Amino acid sequence: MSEPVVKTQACYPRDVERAGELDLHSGRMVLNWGPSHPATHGTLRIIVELEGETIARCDTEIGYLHRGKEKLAEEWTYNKCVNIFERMNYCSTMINACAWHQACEKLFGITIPERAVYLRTILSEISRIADHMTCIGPNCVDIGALTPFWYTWDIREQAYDILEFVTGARMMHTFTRLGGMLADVPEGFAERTSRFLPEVLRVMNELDGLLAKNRIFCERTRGVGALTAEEALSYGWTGPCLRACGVAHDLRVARPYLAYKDLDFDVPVGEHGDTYDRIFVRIEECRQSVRIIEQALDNLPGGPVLVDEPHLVLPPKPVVYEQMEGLIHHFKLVIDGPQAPAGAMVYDASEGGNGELGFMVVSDGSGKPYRVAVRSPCFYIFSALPRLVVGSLLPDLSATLASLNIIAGELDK
Amino acid sequence: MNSNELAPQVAARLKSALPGAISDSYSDGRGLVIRCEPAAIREVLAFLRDDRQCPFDLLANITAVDWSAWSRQDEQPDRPARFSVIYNLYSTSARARLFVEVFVETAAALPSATPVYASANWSEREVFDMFGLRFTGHPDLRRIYLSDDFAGHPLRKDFPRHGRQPQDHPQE
Repeated sequence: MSEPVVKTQACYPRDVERAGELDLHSGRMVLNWGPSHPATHGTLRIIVELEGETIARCDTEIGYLHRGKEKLAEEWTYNKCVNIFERMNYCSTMINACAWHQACEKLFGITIPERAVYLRTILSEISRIADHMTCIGPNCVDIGALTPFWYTWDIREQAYDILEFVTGARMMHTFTRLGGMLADVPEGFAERTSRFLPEVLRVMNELDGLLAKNRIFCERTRGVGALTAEEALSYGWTGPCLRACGVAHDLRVARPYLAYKDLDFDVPVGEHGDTYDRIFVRIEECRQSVRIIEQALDNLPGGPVLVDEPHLVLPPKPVVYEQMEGLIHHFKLVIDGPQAPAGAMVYDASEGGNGELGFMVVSDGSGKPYRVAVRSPCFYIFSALPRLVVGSLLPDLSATLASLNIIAGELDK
Repeated sequence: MNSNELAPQVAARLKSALPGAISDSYSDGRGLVIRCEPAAIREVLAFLRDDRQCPFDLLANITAVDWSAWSRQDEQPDRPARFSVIYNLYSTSARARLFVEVFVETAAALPSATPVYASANWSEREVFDMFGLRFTGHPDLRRIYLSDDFAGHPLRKDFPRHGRQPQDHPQE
């Protein structure tokens, strides 16, 4: 662990006036990067000490997007909390929402209907494709390749179009509910998704053609920001970044949830744990997501999308408007929220876009959680950044950082 | 052998290898939980990481719970101190999950797990920032989310949910 760069104050403009007092001839230069910079892809700050163009020391500062989600959750009902937790990784909102409600359902001991299970699987995988595209496109831009960006952004927009078609919102869907989904998917969903999937495969092949043997791309990414499997595990890495190091750990396979145990897909792994492998693991994962969605659409069961538990889900609107009990029921569920079993404590983890997204929920029997502890994958991936970049060139920092897909909303909670 | 059997076996091996370090082990909604003495936490984690049959190679996170506002008299399990610090371990080869729980008071300092797992570094900084719990032997125990001049530790139950805190930032 490199020691922190102490002279962070020297980065502020007011210190520039005192530049004469600073030692400009020692051969080392402190460079501040962020918290607001196009290549950080989020509000985070990196301070590097340079010797020429080589990074001698590196320190990071996070918390610029800290919104105290865990504290907020302690005064919000379980259904309301989805609003804050889906804003964690705002590139794959649906995965976050499904992960949160899955943890809640474990707490309440609910089994959701099969159709809701499959819909959550399909929507999560569409969200995963959008998330990976959000990583790969800007990563290529950061190393000077603008063309792949337009291909990835096209797919990302198409994925968002489908999610908007289903939920009415482009990014913040809030479509899951305790016990299932807000509503069934609209007519034409399967056809629309089926038209989207070949597009994804086509673009993945285009990306292969544009990048895999591109000499400039290979020189900018091969061996850059590499980490061994042992170190990656020690740093708590999960998700595509860990799989790029050669560890085939994927919670969808290792501890199957939703419909993943019924579906056939592979877990792609890399070999060198470098930027190149991280990008190509993500490209291959998109192809696997297409396989998952195809199978799930073929086997999509019918039936309800929400459990029939009157003490947990809102009554239908005609009952609320016409019957006194229905109205009382509606108010109680909105104001107090569904009551979780007292003393229950659960941990439930899902495979998010960046790795293990876990929620530990403690209930004291009221309608609000006593404590929610979030395990966000970015936090641990970003903690290894100094280890990845010290000793490499400054331009490698932007290539490495983008390939880690650090989402500040998830990093800072 | 599936992961449901492996984790209890590790717990049994741990009990015989480090007698006195483990005060209890039980299953709850999280899975298998081992309750451990605060002073022995680093040895316990090192033992679990290096176990031959079920190496817990991933420390997924460290978190804490402040039990001081627990109001349920009917649900009052044995909680010997105000805070529980929870270590979430996972074994990628055995696909098993295990929680190690220690109970500490506000002033206590736990041995840092950073020499055992690199991921403990930021996790412990987060617990320090949010709960004010200290870790001895940590290489760099600074706040991680909040600024250094922030007063209080927000995830403690006695920290108000609403309020403003004037901060002494020098103006440009």
